[in-house]
Amino acid sequence: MEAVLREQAQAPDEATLAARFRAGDREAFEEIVTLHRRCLYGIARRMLRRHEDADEAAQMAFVRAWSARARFRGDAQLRTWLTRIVLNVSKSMLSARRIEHELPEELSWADAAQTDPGTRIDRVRLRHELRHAVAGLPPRQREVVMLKVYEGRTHREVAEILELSEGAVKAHLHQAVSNLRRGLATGKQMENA
Amino acid sequence: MDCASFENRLTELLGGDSATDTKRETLAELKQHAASCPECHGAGVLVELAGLPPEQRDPLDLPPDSYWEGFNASVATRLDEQQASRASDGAGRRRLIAAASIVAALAVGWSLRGWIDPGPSGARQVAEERSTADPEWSRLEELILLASPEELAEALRGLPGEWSGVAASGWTHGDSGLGGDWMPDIDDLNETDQTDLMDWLDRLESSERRPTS
Repeated sequence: MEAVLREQAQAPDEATLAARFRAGDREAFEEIVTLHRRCLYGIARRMLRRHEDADEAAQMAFVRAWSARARFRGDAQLRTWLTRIVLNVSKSMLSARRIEHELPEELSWADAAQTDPGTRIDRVRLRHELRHAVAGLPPRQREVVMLKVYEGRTHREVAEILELSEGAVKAHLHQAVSNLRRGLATGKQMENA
Repeated sequence: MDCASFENRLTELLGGDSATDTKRETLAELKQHAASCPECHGAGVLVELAGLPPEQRDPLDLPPDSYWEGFNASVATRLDEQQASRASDGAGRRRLIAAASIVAALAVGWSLRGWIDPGPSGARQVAEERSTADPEWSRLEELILLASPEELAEALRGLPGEWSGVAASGWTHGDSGLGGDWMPDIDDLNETDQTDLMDWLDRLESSERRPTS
């Protein structure tokens, strides 16, 4: 966390950085990688689950961003534009390599730090149950849930990333919640049967 | 509260649309409904989730700081390798020209076989003319002569988004007749277009049909 804050504190003005990046300044690009690498890796990790795949996708996304720097017009935030790229790279990897949405049950660092065993088990159970349910959603709804619910992006940002209207984002989220409610109800009924 | 209201309010909470001062009250009502409604009981986990800030809903196990030190270096290496391979002895450029040519030929072949002339003679003429100039064109000949109009159309549909439109519109430069110079000018392409096109060619080659006789 300290490292993240340190990197953000050292961040230069985004418009200046973006202009240098567009002009082909490798140092500016390096700064952009440092600023956004955790974010891109996180998106890829949520999509692909395995560290090795997320690492590959995040690196490929940055390489693509460099290649496409002339297309970045600055009317969106760099983070939004980069998120769109890593999302597309991750989707390509999913379809090309037929990577399944894996659902590892390992404890996260946050869980491991939780000393009350009951709370720890509840959190793992909650997360596991939800990951299964979310993995069963149609792709677009899954993307909206990932960006909105887990990443906490604004409607506007999600709309820009997915190239949808804000209304469509809200509709996808509502549909996803509806599907999750029904899916989780079925799961509970099967459990209780 | 009925199930429809439950869904609406849960969506608002998860989407961050609820006012902060009423959030606790809404959560309590949602929990109450989930506890008493068999249809919504399973969605109790979503209510629990909505009560957490986004960063705590499914925290990722991020790699340690030491990993990030190597990350930038790996990206820089990939970038250098990509640029070096494109610059080395023009091989990348020749391949790119071939890829661009295939797109153009597919568009023309599709037109000839699907729209204008159902026979392969026009396509054959194009393919033969070009194959003498560049060995990569033997692949074109094979593609055009063996593929059905549907398969050609399918190949075009497999192109990255922007390229589909370009190819479907014929993508002609200079004289648009068959005997003219309709080779696309790859210098007009930016690096992303080039990468997209190369990726598409790789996919096309991996699924390419071979003559059976």
